[in-house]
Amino acid sequence: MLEQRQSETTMAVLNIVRDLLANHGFDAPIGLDDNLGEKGLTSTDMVSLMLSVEDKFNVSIPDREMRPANFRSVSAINALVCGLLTER
Amino acid sequence: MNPQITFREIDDSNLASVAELLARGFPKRRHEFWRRALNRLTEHQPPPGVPTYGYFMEAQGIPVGVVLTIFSTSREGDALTTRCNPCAWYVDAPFRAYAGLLFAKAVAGKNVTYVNVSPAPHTLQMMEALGFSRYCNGLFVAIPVLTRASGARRAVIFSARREPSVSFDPFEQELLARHATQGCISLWCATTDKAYPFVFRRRWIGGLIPCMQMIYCNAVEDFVQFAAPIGRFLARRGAFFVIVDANNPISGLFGLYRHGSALKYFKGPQRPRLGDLAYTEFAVLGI
Repeated sequence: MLEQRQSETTMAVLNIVRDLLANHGFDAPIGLDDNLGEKGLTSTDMVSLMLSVEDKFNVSIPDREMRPANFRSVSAINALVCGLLTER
Repeated sequence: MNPQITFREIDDSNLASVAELLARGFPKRRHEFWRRALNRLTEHQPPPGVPTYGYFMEAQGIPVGVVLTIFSTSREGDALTTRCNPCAWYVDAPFRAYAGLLFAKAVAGKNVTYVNVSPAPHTLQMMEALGFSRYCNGLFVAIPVLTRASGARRAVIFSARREPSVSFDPFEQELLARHATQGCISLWCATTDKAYPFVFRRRWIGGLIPCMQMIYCNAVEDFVQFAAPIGRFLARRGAFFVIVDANNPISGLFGLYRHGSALKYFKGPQRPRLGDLAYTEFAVLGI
């Protein structure tokens, strides 16, 4: 059950990232641990990513979690979201 | 290898390195300017429980990004509210992907009204994504000394160092005094029954023509009403022009409206009113 939810979350985050990169014409494959900044996400994209994650999973990212490490890669965002969903 | 990147609140121990970073990010202003600006934030006394200076981004112990925050207490009617002006936002190029998150962290308070009074054009999309709305579409360059005195009300203009002998608001008296210590020109405009507060900051149009920027008035209508005596007061100090935030030409005031200049945005519970830039970067830092 938990694994299934994590997998769904991962896919959803991955899709958000792919959509953001597609806006810049990038369609290279993305690994779960790839550095999203290095993959081409801009500053505005990172904010869009944060807001999209909040919308998609109906969570509010608290101030203490707003740090670069949590948005560095798809796995990091996934861990953040799963943690917030568990806290709920 | 990816350096470990973190966000931290600026404290007194970081001021020298943050000033260095700001001088690098905004090279038109020297390191000494930023040291003075940070010193002004030290003296500014924000409301309790909020950052004194703002936040910075650190990579392996070195500051690589910064956003200053100027928190203050403002008043709308009888209610006191917390306002914050995030400003001087800069991130070194290799770390710019996280610049938006740094700014988002700086404007994450729920009951705070954030005002961005100098947004860079390339950040507008992000401002709007973060929930900011535009409240000021332009500015009015007034020549108050050429404005005909309206009505028959006599008014006396004098420095806020003097206490008015007529009715005045102590909250506004403190606002005037604090802005005077920050290098602004704080005035009372006293009629026979009441004293009206005004704060201006000296600026230069195109780097050549001296002018005053309206930092605070109770209402733009007050400025229109007392434009002639205020204009004479400022003209004696070498400034014939006053820049006022506006969304339209200001009726009753001699001057020119420029749409699309000096856009200003806000986010939060209290829409700022035009004519109130108190405790913003213009007033506190002299930006």
